[in-house]
Amino acid sequence: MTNPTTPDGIPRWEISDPVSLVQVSQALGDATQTALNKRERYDFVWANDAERIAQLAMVQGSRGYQVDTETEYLYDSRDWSPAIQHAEWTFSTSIPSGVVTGVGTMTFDSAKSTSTTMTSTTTSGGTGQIVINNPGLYAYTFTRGNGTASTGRAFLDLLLDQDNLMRHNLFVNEDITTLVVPNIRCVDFQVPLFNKFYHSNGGSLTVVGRVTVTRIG
Amino acid sequence: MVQLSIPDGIKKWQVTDGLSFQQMSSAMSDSMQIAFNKRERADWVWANSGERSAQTGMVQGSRGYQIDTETEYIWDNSIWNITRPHTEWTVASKSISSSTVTDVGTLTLDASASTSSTQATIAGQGAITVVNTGVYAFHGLVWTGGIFSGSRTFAEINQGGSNTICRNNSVNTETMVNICMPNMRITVTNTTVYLRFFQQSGGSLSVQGRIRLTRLG
Repeated sequence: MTNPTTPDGIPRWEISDPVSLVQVSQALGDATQTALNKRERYDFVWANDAERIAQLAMVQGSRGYQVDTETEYLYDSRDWSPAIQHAEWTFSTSIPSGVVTGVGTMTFDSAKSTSTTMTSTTTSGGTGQIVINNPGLYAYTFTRGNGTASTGRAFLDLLLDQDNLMRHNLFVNEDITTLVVPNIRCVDFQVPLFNKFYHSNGGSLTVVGRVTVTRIG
Repeated sequence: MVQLSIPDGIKKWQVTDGLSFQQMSSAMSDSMQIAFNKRERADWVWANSGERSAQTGMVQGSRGYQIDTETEYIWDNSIWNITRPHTEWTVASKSISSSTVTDVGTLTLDASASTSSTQATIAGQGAITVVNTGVYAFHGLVWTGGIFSGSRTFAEINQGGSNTICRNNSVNTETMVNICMPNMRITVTNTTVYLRFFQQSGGSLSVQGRIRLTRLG
């Protein structure tokens, strides 16, 4: 008797296999229940990194759960990445006094990110841009440090798609502050977010910082 | 006709049922499809906590959805936990000297507000150790019985003792400062995260507070 199975271990039979219909039906029922128990919400469950790395037969979109770190992973046809999409970008630039200015070239921080495709960047329309590629709900932070403005005004601006402005003030004599938006809703593809800084301290101020983006829905 | 079924409702037959092969196969295919459909997001769906408490037949990792509270649960082999781990700590009053960035006071787990007591542990004054890598939402709150009277006041979230990842400034005459990091990425297991407070001048100040931590993925 040849007894090939489906990927989930459901048995199949040749017409010549000497089994009764009742045997077939009961074996199918038991095997299907076993497959469902194993599957739960995931295609694979691993005890640790080693088991995950050794996994075979996954396809793009396969999901797995690693028990020791309680982390869900998604396979993108090349790597297993944590299923939650998260990206971080850094910047460092000199900002002139009295002008709301983009925070310069954005550099992708691959060590802190789990997704290379959720966001991108462009300088079309000015520096300091992060582009959110897909519609959805996102948590966003924009932290600016270094360089203390001792007089005047200073603030961080976040513009969603050019016209939806969010602002967070930086008090005189402070060097670090964070603009937080826990639930930005993007309704279009390729939505640009402009990260800008302003000070009226006089002269130029070098600022460094970080942007974090997480897709939450 | 005796129709046995297994926990997911997949049909099985006795020899005496007398069904044709086509009848059994079709009924089995239908019941298998229904079982797979139910497994899409949850193993069980309950109207309320009474139905959830009465549930039997679950295994470790089983998930269920409670309709009246719109909440997803996971079975840990002893109790149903809310799927998303959330932990809160109270921060006891501590006298903090001016001009020094200082960890806030002694933490106490607020079990009644928490759904997980294992995702992070207390690591000392103002410090928690986040056990697993992942993306977390962090909220810190610092307040005083009087007012912040120094020339600078802020609270910050700090990773590993040297990496300030988020800061929020307070105007001088406030009694409370909030700080929020909605998407804090932890890339190393057992990372310690600190809630810190600073007041530039004004002598010592007693502050207390609260920390909230939620794992997003």
